[in-house]
Amino acid sequence: MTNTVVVQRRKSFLQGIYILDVAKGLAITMKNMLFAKKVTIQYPEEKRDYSERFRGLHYIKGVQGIENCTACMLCPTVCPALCISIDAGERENKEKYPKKFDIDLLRCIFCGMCEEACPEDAIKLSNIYEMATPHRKILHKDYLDIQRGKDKTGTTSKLKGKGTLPPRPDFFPPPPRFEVDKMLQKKGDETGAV
Amino acid sequence: MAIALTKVLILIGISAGVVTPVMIWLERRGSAWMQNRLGPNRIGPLGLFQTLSDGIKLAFKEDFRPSLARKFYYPIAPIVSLVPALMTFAVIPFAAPIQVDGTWYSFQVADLDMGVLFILAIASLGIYGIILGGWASNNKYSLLGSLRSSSQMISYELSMGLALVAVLMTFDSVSLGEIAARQGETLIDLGIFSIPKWGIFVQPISFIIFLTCTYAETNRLPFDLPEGESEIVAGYHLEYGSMKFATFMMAEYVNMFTASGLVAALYFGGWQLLPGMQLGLNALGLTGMQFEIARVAFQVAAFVAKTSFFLWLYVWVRWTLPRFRYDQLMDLGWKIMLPLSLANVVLTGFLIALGVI
Repeated sequence: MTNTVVVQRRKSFLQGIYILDVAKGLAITMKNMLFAKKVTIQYPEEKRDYSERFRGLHYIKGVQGIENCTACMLCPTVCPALCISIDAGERENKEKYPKKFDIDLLRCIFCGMCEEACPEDAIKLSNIYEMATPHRKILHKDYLDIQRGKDKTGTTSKLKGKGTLPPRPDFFPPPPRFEVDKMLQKKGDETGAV
Repeated sequence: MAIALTKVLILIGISAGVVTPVMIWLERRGSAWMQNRLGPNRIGPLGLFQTLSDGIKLAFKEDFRPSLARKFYYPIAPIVSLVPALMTFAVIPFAAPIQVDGTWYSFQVADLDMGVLFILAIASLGIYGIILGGWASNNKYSLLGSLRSSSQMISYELSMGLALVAVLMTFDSVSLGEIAARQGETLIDLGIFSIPKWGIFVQPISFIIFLTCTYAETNRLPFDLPEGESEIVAGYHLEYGSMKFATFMMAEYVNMFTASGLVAALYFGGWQLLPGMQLGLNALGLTGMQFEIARVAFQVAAFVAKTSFFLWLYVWVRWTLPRFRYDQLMDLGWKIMLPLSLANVVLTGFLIALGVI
C-alpha cells in the first residue's frame, strides 16, 4: 500500500486572480531577455567548437608530402561498414604504399575504428562535418589522388587558416566539397549524380 | 467624405501593412530573446523583412481546400474574421480634434456618440469568422476549437462589458473621444507634479479585468484555447493554408492592435501627453497653427507609445504564461472576473454618489 498524502491547496483571493504570479513570471522573462547570454550560434558565420576527438571527415596524415600509410590493410579489415578500399603499390625503396586509397563516405558510419586500428598514425578523422553535396560521386572518391594533386583541385593551400581544420604541418587536408563539385562538373563526369 | 476615406485607408494601411508585420516580427524575435535565442535576423535590417518574405511565400502557396469543406463558407470565414477587426479601430481617437478655418477635424474615422457600444458590438462579430472557419472546415478539431472559442468569448464579453460600465460611469460618457478628453483632468495635484485622471488611477480593478478580457477576446495566450496545439492541433484554422491562414493571422494581430488602442484610450488617457511631453511641447515655443500641428504630432506620438506598450505586453505575456486549462479558464471568467466586475460597478456607484470620483 502506498501512503496517500493529501495536499491542501488553498488559494487566497489574490492568488486566485493570478496577479502576483503573473507579475513574477513577467519579471523572469524580462530578466532573461535583457541580461541572459544568447546561446544561438549563427551557423554559417559562427561554428561550434568541436572537440579534437570529434569524428568527422577522414584525412591521411603524412610527413613532408609523403603519406604515413603503408597499405597494411588494417583499416579496411576493421571497418564495420566496409567502406575503405586500398590498392597497394611498392615504392622504389621497396616500401609499401597505397596507390589508391578510397573511402565511400556514403557508407562510412564515422565510428573511428580505422583511426584506432592504424599502426602508422596515417588515417585520421578531422573535425570537418560539412559533407553535404549534390553529387554522389564526390563522396566516393580517391583520397590520395586528389591529395597528391593529380586531379588538379589545387585546394590544399586555400583551406589553410579557415579554422575548421586542425592546424598541423603534416596534414593532408581533404578537398573542400564545392571545389570538387566544380571539378566534376567541368569534366562532365556526373554519371553518378543523385 | 474624402477625408473620412483617407482616414480609413491610412488606418487600414497602418494596421494591416505596418502593425501586423512588425508585430509578427516582434513576436518571433521577442520570444527568441526571452528564450535566450536570437530569432530571425537575416532578412533586412534586424530581420524586419522576414514577415514580408513569409507573406510572399504564403501568397504563392497552393490555395488548398479540403474536399468536404463547405464551398461558400470555407473561403469566406477568414474575411469575416478580418473585417470586424479592422472596423473596430474606427472609433478610437488618436489625437485631440484640430480646428482648421473654423472647422473641427477629429482624429478618428468616426466620432460616434456611442463609441464604446460600437466597439462592443463589432468585437462580438469577430467570433463569427472563427465559428464559420471551424464549422466550414468539416474537421472535428476545428469545430471543437471554434466551440471553445465561442464559449470563451461570450463568457469574457460579460466581464468586459461590466468593466466598461464602471469606466463609463466614471467619465459620464459613451464617446471615446470625450472619455479620452476627460482623462486630461487632474486627479491629485502635488504641486509641480500632478496625477492625471487616467482610467488606471480611477478604475484600477476595471483595468485589470478589461485587460484580461481583451486577452481572452483576441484569443491570445494565456487564453488561446481555440488554438490549443497540444489538444486540438490548431483549432479553427487547422484546415486553412496559404493566404487564408495569413488572413486569420492578420485578423488576430489587427485585433490585438485594436485592443491595445482601446486599453490606451480608456485607461491611459488615449492621446493625453505622457509625463514630460508637455514640457517638450512648450519648449518648442510655437504659436497658432504651428503649435496646433505640433500638439497633434505629440499626441499621436503619445498614443502610439501607449499602444505599442500594450502590443508589447501581448507578446511578453504570451511567452511568459502557460495556457489555462479549459475549466480554469471558465472558473476565472465566471467565478472571479464576473463577480469582481459587478462589485466594481457597485463600488463605483457608491463612490460617485459620495462624490469621491
